[in-house]
Amino acid sequence: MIPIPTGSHSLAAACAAINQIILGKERAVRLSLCCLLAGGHLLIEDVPGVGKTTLAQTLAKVLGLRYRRIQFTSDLLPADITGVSVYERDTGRFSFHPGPVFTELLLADEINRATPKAQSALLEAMEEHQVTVDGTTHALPHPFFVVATQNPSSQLGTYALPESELDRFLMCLSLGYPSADFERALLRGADRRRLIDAEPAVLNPADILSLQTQVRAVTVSEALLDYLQALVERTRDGKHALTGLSPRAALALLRAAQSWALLEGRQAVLPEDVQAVFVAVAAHRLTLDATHAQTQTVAETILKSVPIP
Amino acid sequence: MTTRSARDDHRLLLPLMGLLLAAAALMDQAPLWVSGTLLACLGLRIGAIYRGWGVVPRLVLVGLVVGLTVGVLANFQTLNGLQAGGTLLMAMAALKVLESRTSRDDAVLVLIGFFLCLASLLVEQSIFRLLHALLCVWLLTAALLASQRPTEASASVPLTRGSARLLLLGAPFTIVLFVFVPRLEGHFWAIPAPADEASSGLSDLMNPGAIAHLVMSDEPAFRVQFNGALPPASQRYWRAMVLEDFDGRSWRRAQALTNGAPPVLEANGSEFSYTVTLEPTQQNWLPTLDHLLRVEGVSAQRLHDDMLIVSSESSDKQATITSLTRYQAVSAPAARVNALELSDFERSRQTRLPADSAPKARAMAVTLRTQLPSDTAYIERVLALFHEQNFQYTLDPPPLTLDPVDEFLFSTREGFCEHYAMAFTVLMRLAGIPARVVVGFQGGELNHYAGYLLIRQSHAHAWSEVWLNGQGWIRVDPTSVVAPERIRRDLAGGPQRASAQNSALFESSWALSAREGIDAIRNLWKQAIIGFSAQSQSNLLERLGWKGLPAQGLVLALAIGMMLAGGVLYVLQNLALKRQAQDPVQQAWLAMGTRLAARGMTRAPHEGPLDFSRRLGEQWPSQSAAITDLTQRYLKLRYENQTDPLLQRNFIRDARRYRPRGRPRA
Repeated sequence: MIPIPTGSHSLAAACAAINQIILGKERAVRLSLCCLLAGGHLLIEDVPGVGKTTLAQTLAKVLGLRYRRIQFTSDLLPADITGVSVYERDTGRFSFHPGPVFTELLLADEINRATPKAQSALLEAMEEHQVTVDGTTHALPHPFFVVATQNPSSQLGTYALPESELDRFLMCLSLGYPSADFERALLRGADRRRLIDAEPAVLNPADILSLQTQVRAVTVSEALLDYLQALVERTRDGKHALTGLSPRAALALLRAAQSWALLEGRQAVLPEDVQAVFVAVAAHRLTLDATHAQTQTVAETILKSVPIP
Repeated sequence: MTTRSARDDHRLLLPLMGLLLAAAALMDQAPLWVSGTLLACLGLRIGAIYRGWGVVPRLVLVGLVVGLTVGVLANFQTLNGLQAGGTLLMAMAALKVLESRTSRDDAVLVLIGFFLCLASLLVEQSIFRLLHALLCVWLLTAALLASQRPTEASASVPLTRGSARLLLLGAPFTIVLFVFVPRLEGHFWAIPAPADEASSGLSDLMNPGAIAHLVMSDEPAFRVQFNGALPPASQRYWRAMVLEDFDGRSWRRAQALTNGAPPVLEANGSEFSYTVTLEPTQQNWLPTLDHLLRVEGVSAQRLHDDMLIVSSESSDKQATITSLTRYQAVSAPAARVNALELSDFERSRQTRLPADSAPKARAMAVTLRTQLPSDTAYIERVLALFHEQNFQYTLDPPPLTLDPVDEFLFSTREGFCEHYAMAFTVLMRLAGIPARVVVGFQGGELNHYAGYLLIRQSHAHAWSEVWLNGQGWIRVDPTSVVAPERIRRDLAGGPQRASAQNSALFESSWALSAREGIDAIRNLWKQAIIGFSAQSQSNLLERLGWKGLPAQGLVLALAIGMMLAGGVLYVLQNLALKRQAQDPVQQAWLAMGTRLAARGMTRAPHEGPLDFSRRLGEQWPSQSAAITDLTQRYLKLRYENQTDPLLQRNFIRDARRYRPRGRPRA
């Protein structure tokens, strides 16, 4: 019998393991873990080469999840993601050959390089946890995570993700350049790929599912919901963004906050938990007008403008 | 049928309690059997609530209605007027208590209670009555709230607090209505005054024993505020009426009154200017000091040298003082008067006596006068007689039956100021010296807080005046010869008490000053609230910038005032809602934050409690432990859905008690 890891102990170990490979990005690491425990998909947006793929790989390895990777390109077809039905001469029937989406952790690398048609093939998988090919529906394994990376949309050869798809990512993170000290450590240190291979799995899929159940059980008080609703309301007042957060986003915010509270080793959500995840959850869902303000900055402004009731 | 809980039963007691409290103020007016009926009915109702006693049959109720009405009618000979009407109201309230079953009945009981409060305020408008009425209204409003609320909801909402809030919200409107509703002079409700009120105070007829009952009364008669120094105590004789006609038993005011002129002062003594606030007397005299020079603020006439009577402006009919009256006067009590010769007519009137009265006294007076060289010597001789012949001063003299003057002078020799004034004046007239009786008040208690003199009914006094050629009317107080302490007591400024048993209590200084304090409050209440007349209203409006506005202006002011009051109400309501929105835990937490902010440790509005306590820990290590502990407990209560009332109470207590020490690092 495998004891079910409870609470923060195994989570702290997982965090520490990831931090050994992704240097100086404790907050981003914690948020990504938080996102996965909340049962959401993660979008990492940043310039190439800051460690997006490495983070996804490390997550898969440390969490003990089966891991597949799809490199999105402009000629990627939906079938390349979901899989195809192939005619078998021996039996004289079509049999389904599952695509890379049938895994526990899917890394969709450079998702905005593919055409909207290929991108939308991921939609059903992400939302419904199932794939329909040639009229037959195939269930995806549990747990199922999508970690997508994308380059800033100002770069050449990118197709911006539609809002509907953005909304399906619980969080959007950006890693940013490492500080000088950590970059030096990175330069001196061993090859990341080899480190990842050497990293033992701290958790397993059953642990993840159990932790996800625990997240939903974290206490949420009326006072906290007051605060959360005030925050959501503020995004919708038209002063900060063209469109505010949807009810689905509000729910996502709540789950993320519960997950963060669990990561902090608490059994109840505090306003601090909501604040910790707010920018990551809200920023990519806000639509701004033509001004060049960053959505993150706007989200932070909103956070500072709402008093805790 | 739903079963009612004990809590609901208690709720049914509220209107009964309110009603009882409201009726208590009228019980001294009503006969004992009506109060008894009310109490009995309340008892029956309480029995019905808790013990399930049966309903009183309708026929019995009808019988009681008739019986009580007849009873009241028999007692008062009328159903009209304050006393009879109030009593009838109490009786009917008692029957309504018996009848009440539903919450609608409770509402009716509450309305009757309001009416009883109003009736008690008609009887007397003192500040204590008002406080009592407020208490009643508070309780009754709570009862009204209880009767209007569904049973389940009421458990969570404190009725008494809701009632207090309603009254508070109504206060601005009350103030505006009080200030701006056009005032009508006098009692506009025109309730006939109780019969015994007319007899209280001095009357224009002096029988032996008439003043004695006044001296038992502690009721205030009037208050005097001096502009400047007070006159010496020996000059504090407040004259009210001059009595000139004697019929052998009683002195009365002269029938044919003539207008007088201000006295012509020869040697001007110091003048005293003062303001008198006179309680309603139902009579027409105005008390003033001797040698009145002028009077203002009241429509008055000088009659007979130095006596004032209010006269209504419309007719020559003499008016009576039915409401609190204020007037300013200037007197020179110590001045010498340049007295002209008394006319023959006056002289004969001031020496007139019934021919057959007091034969013994007549003989003695004639003998004495012939032995003595002058009127002055005669006066001194008579005063010496009072002193030598063992005359006693008492409040409880034996009754005088046949010829009061002779009986008093030669047999009983016990009496009160009026006896001495009467006997002395008669002795003067018998010797041919013009003399008259003056009734009024003597002395007064100085209120050390407010600096005014309080003159009570117990200061009532009677003395004599004799006419001496060249000196005019001279005051002679024969009582002072017999009982100098009666006068001295007032000279010392101490309290005038008729009953000696209480003297020990009233001698102690704190009791005295408490009495003075209470009277100062009472005076303020009288001056500002009861004395708020049409005149003071127009003065106030003038000060507010509305000069000489007609009635339309008043209505406009009323409208503006109501709007302002509404604004105040709105703000109050919002504040109340804001307070209500926060639970006590959050209030205690915020109050703690305010205290920390006062020391320079301010929590940003968006800063979470945990973040704040961490920041405080860095900036203010000395307070860290306390704040961390309080924060943890606060988080438990607010965000972990902890509902343990003990935890809650302890946190609220500790958070309220917490006081930061020192200051955080910059």
